[in-house]
Amino acid sequence: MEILSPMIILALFGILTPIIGFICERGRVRNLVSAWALFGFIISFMACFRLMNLLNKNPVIVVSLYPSIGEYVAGFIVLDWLSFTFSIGFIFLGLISTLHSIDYMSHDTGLPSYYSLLLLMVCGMVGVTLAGDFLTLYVFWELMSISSYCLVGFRKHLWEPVEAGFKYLLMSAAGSALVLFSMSLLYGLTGSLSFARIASSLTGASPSILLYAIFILLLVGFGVKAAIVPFHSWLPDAHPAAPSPISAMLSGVVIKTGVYAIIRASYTLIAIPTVDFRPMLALLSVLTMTVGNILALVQKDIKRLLAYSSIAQIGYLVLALSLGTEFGLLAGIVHFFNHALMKGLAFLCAGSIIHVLGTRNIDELTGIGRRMPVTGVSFAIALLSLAGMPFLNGFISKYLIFAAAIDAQAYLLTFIGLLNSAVGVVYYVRVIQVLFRKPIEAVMKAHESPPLITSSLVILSLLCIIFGVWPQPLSYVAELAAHFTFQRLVYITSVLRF
Amino acid sequence: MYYSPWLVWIIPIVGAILTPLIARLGEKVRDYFAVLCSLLAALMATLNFSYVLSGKVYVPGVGYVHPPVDWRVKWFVVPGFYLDVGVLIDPLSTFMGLIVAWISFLIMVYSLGYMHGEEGLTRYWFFMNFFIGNMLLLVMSDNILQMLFGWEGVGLCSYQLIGFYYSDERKRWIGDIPPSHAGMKAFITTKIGDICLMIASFIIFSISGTFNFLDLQVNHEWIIELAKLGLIVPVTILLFGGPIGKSAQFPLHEWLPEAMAGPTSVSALIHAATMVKAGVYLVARLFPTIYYGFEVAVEHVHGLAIEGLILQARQNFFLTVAWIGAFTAFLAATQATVSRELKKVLAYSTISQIGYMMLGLGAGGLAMDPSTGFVAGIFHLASHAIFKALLFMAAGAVIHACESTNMFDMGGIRRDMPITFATMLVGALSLSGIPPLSGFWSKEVVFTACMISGQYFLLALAAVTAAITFFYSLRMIAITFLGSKSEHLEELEHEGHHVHEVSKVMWVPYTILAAATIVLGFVGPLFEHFMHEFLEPSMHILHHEVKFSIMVYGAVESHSGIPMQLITTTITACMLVIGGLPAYYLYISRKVDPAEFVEKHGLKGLYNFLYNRWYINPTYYRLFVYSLINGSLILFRNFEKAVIDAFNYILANSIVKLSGVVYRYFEKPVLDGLNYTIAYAFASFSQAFRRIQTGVSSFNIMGMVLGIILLIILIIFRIF
Amino acid sequence: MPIEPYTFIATSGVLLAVGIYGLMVKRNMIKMVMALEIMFSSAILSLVNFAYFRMYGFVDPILHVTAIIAISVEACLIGIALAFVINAYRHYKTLDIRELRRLRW
Repeated sequence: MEILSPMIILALFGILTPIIGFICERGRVRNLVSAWALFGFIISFMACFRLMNLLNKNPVIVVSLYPSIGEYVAGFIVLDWLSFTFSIGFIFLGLISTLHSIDYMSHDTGLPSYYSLLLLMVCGMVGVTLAGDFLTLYVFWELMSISSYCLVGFRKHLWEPVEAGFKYLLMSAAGSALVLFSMSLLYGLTGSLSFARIASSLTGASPSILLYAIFILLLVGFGVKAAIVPFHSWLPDAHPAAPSPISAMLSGVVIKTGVYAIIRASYTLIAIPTVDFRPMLALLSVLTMTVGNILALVQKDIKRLLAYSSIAQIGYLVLALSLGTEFGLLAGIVHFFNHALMKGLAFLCAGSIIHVLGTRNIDELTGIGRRMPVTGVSFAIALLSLAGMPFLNGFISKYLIFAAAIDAQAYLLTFIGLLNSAVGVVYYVRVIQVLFRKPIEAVMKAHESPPLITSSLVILSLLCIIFGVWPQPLSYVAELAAHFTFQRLVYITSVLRF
Repeated sequence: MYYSPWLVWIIPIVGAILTPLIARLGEKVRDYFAVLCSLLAALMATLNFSYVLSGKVYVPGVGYVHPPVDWRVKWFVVPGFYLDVGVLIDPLSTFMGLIVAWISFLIMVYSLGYMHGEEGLTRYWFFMNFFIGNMLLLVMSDNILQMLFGWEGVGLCSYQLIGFYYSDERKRWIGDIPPSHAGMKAFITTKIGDICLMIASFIIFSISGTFNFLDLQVNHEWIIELAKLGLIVPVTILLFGGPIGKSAQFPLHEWLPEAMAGPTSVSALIHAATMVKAGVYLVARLFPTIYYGFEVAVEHVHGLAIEGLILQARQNFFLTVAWIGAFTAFLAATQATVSRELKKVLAYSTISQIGYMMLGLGAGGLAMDPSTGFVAGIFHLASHAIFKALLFMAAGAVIHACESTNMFDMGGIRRDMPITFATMLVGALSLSGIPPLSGFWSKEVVFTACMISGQYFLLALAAVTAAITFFYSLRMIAITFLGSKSEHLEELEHEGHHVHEVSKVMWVPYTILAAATIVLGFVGPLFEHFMHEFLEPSMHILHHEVKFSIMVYGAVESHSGIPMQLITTTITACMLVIGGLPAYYLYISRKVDPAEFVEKHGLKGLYNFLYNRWYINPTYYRLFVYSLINGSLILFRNFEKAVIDAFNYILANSIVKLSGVVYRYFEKPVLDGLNYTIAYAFASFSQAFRRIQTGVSSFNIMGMVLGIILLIILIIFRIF
Repeated sequence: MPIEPYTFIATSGVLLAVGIYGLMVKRNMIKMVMALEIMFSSAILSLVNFAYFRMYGFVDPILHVTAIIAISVEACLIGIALAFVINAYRHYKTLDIRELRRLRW
């Protein structure tokens, strides 16, 4: 049961937060609820970190929620390196966002529900990565989704979050309906909801139209969450509309749950000989990064620009997955983690600026980097990292992705990807230039954000530099994750034998 | 503290990065914090040394291991390619680290007094600590790539600190160039060597697949491979390019004298005691690879041609090292005899002494038993680091007191600065090899190494250099401290400035070093023996029986009758007399006026030749600097003005007319349009393209459905 | 007439199409929420259908559990959606989704 501990801690803290909030309001200690949420994340992070020891002994760990059922058809939890990598990333960024929220959200009301939703959202994401069957996956998926709708629309007294939230909800719910539908079709084919059982039934199955249809439904359903291009249109609305720490969470990790589910669907459930997902993902990746980069070029709104850049980065990630090689998967996982760090950092920096200036228009931020040195430098680090400057973590993962693409002889994809990252540099550098120009009148009065906000920025930018200079810990975990995901028989046999 | 091999270089680097933050707490805190960092580094280095001394190094996860230990951490692993970072804990690295760290600490303490009240001290402490960290990184690293990071880091710090007085006031000038120019000169000159080193190491990496020193020693396939490609001779010589640049050896030695434009503490730390030794260290590090590794490779290769090539490469390498070392020693020593500035004398003598170290190592590589030469290089490195740091710090104190860098502005301050005089005397005597100071013993070993390898010409050159060394050391001491006071000092006294002993925080560090010189001198032979024993593992990391069968250049088997020590001691004694007597007559007893002496004996030409640094510096400037400037000027004048202008003039009218036509019919509609299009292509494309983001939910859903249809079409075309 | 499983599969497929069509075409936000509901219903119908017809003489309880959980989750979702509708009405004074287009480009 130890592997459940991070999730249980998050759920427990999430449920108890309103009570704490009630006590806070009575006792007039406003920050207690923030501290409580932060505490929850810290404990959960530590618990999650400890799982590495278990995984070192046994690469796939299975736990049943209902041991009395006997056979594992539903309601059980599987932890492997892939789930570990993703869940530790989720919890870590949640921790940093909470740290950032303490000062950022201090003017808002309804903080208990905010933290409760944040904790439950991360709980849902961790649950998605730990799910061993479709029922569990679906429940946690919806827990995450519903919490994120509420968080996007959290400032409901403004028009923007409401509009963005509703659009997000429509797209995303349609996506999960598709997932539910394809899940029923999979059951109809194989007679089980468990990943391992479905995978073992489909091993060696010949390609059929039905399997392709199911895969497309899954791809679309998860792709909506992952903001792959034809299904992306909610993202540029929803991410800027949310409070900045939530934007960081959404862009940094929530869209990655979609990517995680796509990895599971394409590498574990329905592997290559049965369904050749490579051309589909390759097409989508080209679309995604091109559209994301081109639309980001002319954005005036800093958060909208970052949102489009998230779409572009998801494109690189899907490119890595579309290769269908172990190296590609490794590169994708490293990019997941690095993008979580740098995009989280970028949104938190934007949040720090918005907290001080109250505007999101890039032209009105001219010279803010000089007035707010910590934020400015962290922002520059994040953007340079996104642009792929050497010795920052973004370079490492981009390098790995293109190396993997060349390794898989996907030269056209590599070329398009490189072209795209060249286009990407333009708008990142533009923002940096604006940040460090001579400050304009309105900016002159600005001061550095409070220490809790800057500390969250400093932690993330240090990590960006550390993983840029020393990527080994990251690539070590990613290599294990990629290896055991690619060896799907290990997963299947260890679940079925259990 | 098992992590001390890592902490020893991480602490100063982190400390450097923290310095600007700490500076906000106050100036005192900042200064002491910087010194504390270097103290911690020194303690860590001591720990490392003690581990190696006790023969047990603890590596977490492995347990106790005998040195040499290569503690590696995976840095960057992707399928088919990996890079490690690591520290090499072996006698050579820990010994070097010990010297670097402790001398750095003493100089940092000295800086507290010397730099007191200067501007830009945060910058100073930052770069000093950054330098210490990078230097220790260079020393501890177990592979060439990581070492190159440290190598470039120290180069950067050196550049920044030479140009510390970047405002270029006249009194900061050394010779006739300002500090910022000096920094640039140092940077560019050493860079030439660095590029050679980089080229060589990347060639080696591309063939062997590793940067690691130990791997390079143990594997010999890369040597054979390199020889088959015919690259082995150039690569070994290019490898030596790095040391030539960094250690200021001929022909790249010209940067060091000007590098004295920085604060004296910087000169003491970077340009005397530590950074310039990096080249010697690298040669020592590569020594076993080239000496033994090539030998082993020869045993495994078939074909006489390749065999001969490898041996020739080895031979060439060590011959180059030895000859360049000996020649540089002589060259720089002669220049030191006529220098007018105190720090410049010391700079020349540094170049010269590093030449000795190179000579020792090179001679070792040419001998049957390389250990004497190897020990000679390292022992001389250690003793020189100590007494040269001491000399520089004392010189800094004198300059501080006399407010001039010129030796002829000093004189007669022996009684005013007794401690400084005594310590500087110890240093100068040690430098010139007076028994029983440490310099005597280490120089003795260098001579012995030359004898063992049979390089009698080099021995003669080294011996002559020893005589010159004693001459200029005495000259320096005499002009600075003895005789009567100069006009400059009398003027100062008129203004109420009395020359007096410097503060305690300044003289204590160099007194400690003077004591170390004396102690090391008294235990010299013992210490040499200890070095032989201690450095043995660094020499024989190869677990391989090496047969010394094939050609060794002119080796001397044994000496009949007379012990070698006796010969070298006799040579030293003779040389001291030869060098000492003229110096005594010219400068101490002042029976002969030096200027008159030069005039009378027609030595003016020689004097000018030496004073102009053998005309090497002007030649370089003429060849590389002025030629570039002039070349571009000439190009501008002759070509651009004459040719192009004429061309323009002739064609002007027609072009103007043509351009009018072109402008009207081509440029305006086509080119302008093109420019406009290129400049705004992306923007306008993006502007047009962004309309797909309509903001209407129905269209969003429609996009989703279109996506599904797209995927279905794709599948139908691709798969079925 | 015995009920064929394909009838239900076809029905759920048609319902799915109807739901997507509703989302694409309808302007009224309430109607869009209803279209969403139809999509979920089609999936739930498909679940129950397979629970019954997958194996002769055996009704898989897991699928029924899934169906019930899906219904309750969907209820939450619709609740949130309606809350958004109410707030949107407060800000925009209309239920026409095409008026909610301030966020674009």
